[in-house]
Amino acid sequence: MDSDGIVFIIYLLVLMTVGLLFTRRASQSPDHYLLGNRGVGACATAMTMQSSSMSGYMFMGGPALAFQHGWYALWYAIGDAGGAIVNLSVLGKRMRRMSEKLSALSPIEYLEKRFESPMVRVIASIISIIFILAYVFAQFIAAGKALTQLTGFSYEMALIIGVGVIVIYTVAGGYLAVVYTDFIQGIIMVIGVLGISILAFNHISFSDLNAQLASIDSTYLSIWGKDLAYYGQWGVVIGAILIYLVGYMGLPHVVTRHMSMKSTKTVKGAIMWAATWNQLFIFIPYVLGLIGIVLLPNLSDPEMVIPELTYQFFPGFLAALLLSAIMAAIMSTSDSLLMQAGTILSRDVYQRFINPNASEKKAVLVSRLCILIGGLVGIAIAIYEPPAVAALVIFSFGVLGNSFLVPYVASVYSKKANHVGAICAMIGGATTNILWTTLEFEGATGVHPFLAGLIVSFIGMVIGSQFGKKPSDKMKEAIDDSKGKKALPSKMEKRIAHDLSPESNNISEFLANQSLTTLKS
Amino acid sequence: MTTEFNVLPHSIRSKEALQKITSLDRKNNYTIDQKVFYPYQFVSYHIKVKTFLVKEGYLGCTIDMISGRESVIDSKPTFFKKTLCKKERIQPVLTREKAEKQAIQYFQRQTAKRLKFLALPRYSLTDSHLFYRPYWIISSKNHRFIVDGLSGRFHPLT
Repeated sequence: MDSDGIVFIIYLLVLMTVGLLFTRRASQSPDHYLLGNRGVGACATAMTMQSSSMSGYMFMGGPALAFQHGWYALWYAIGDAGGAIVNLSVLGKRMRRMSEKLSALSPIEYLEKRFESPMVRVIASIISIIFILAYVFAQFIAAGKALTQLTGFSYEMALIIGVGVIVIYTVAGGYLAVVYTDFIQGIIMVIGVLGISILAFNHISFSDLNAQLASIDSTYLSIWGKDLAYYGQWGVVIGAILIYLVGYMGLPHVVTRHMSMKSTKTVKGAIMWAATWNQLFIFIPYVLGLIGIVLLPNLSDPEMVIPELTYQFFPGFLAALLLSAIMAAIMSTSDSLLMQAGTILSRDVYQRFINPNASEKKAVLVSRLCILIGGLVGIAIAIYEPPAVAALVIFSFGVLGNSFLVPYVASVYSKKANHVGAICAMIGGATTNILWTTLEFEGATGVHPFLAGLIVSFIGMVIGSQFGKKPSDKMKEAIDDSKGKKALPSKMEKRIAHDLSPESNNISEFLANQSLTTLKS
Repeated sequence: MTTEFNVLPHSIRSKEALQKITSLDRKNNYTIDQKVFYPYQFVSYHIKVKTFLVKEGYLGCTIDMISGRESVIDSKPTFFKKTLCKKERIQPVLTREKAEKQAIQYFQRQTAKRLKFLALPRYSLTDSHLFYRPYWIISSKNHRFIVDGLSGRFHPLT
């Protein structure tokens, strides 16, 4: 085995050790195993949110898109760069408060409790299980492809090693293992892309890149894609921006991060960390795809543009770093998706409908078993039939986003949104995206499937909420409370003695500790 | 556990504190939750500077015993002894020594800025007492405030 393979194996062992360190804490209760006992700080929240959001797509699908379409692909990056800020700002605080108020441990359980209907949970579970698993299988395929190319292992062997490590630490350490391994992986992803980009720009300067792209095909520089494929189709462009700008608010495994934050104060810090990380990471893989057009003109598989660039132009230690960064992206998303799938199966299906009286110990065991089974089925499917990573990721992401974005946002912002609206929004959004993609309506209408799904989901929520039982008074009150402190009357605001601010902070803390002690006793 | 402590006498009673907040926000229904005693250290030094003319005098300040913030004080406050239980008083974080040291540093900063002495002043400690200041906790469904039991000034709780 080469030195890069050894570095990578050490990296996998470190991740497994971190995961196993959390085994004991994870076993304390379902709250510990599924949400880390709602105690995750700002930096860890931001890193786990971002590294779970940025999957193998960022090292394979994204650069491939840029390799095929030129600068048009950057529309996706522009949306993605602001995605975390939008996600945390819109949902962060309110969802943290609301989920705790409703005692919801999974994002699907949250939907049932908020919309006061078991049917919402049934439909949400079905949609999320199918498309989370499709999403996770795409990650497994990416892991297998990357490891095969970079280590020389067979595809099957590579899959078993890569996915095996993810399954072991997720099953053992639960949510906290996922969070802290994601944290490490988030750092490696940034170091990896920054290192490769510095060396890539040594081979070709930014101005040379555009000049050479223009000499190959001037439409690579167009905002409408190669050969002006999307010329004038603003519906496609807006969809491309929106999918990653707002889409994360509909992904159950990302939304869980709001529920596990230490407190609402965590949101502000998490936004800062996530925004900084995003700007360092997101644009580079796409630009490397553009560099691939010039430096790798005969590349047969566009998804391998970054691995090929690294191995041809900067071998040695950087190759090992790249391998770790690609696997970090894949693994950090896969573990979160697997964790989410396991949570939904155990909490939303088993504990809710099959064995409501299951003990806490049994609930944790079932979660672990579900994750293990999900991982094994994933390996089998990925070996059996590997489709393109990019297509599967965009499709699953789009369907999940279109199903859940509107219900999640409405759950904390609208007192009128009810279960009928939520069901219409989920089914309408998912069906539209599936039909739009499979029947290729994008070409005929000039509207991106995500944009179409979002519009239908929104209309479904508005019209559906006119029918059926209105939200209870208790729920309306909870929505009001989730908004946080209400603004003070202006005459009161003017008379606040701001020099008492340190006393106010310290007294707040004293009172909080006091109520905690009372609760414990 | 209850022990006797130096406490500043409150001049704002619970009804007045409540009235103050209610008069500014009539939409919410406020009630008094409790009274909390907040720790400060009163520190006084005799300061002497030898320049062409010898200058001397007394300087006093209070140190917030949790966050360490200093405030100048004109005269020594009047305390009375009161039994306080653990639930109503906040435990100081700073030690007496730390507070006294911090007071000197504070005076040095102030005198350096205002008096521009050429020689270094000499400080000798004349008084140092831990005391507690009362704050009323007033809350409604949506907001919570502290109201200073002496001045009636208020601040929302975070």
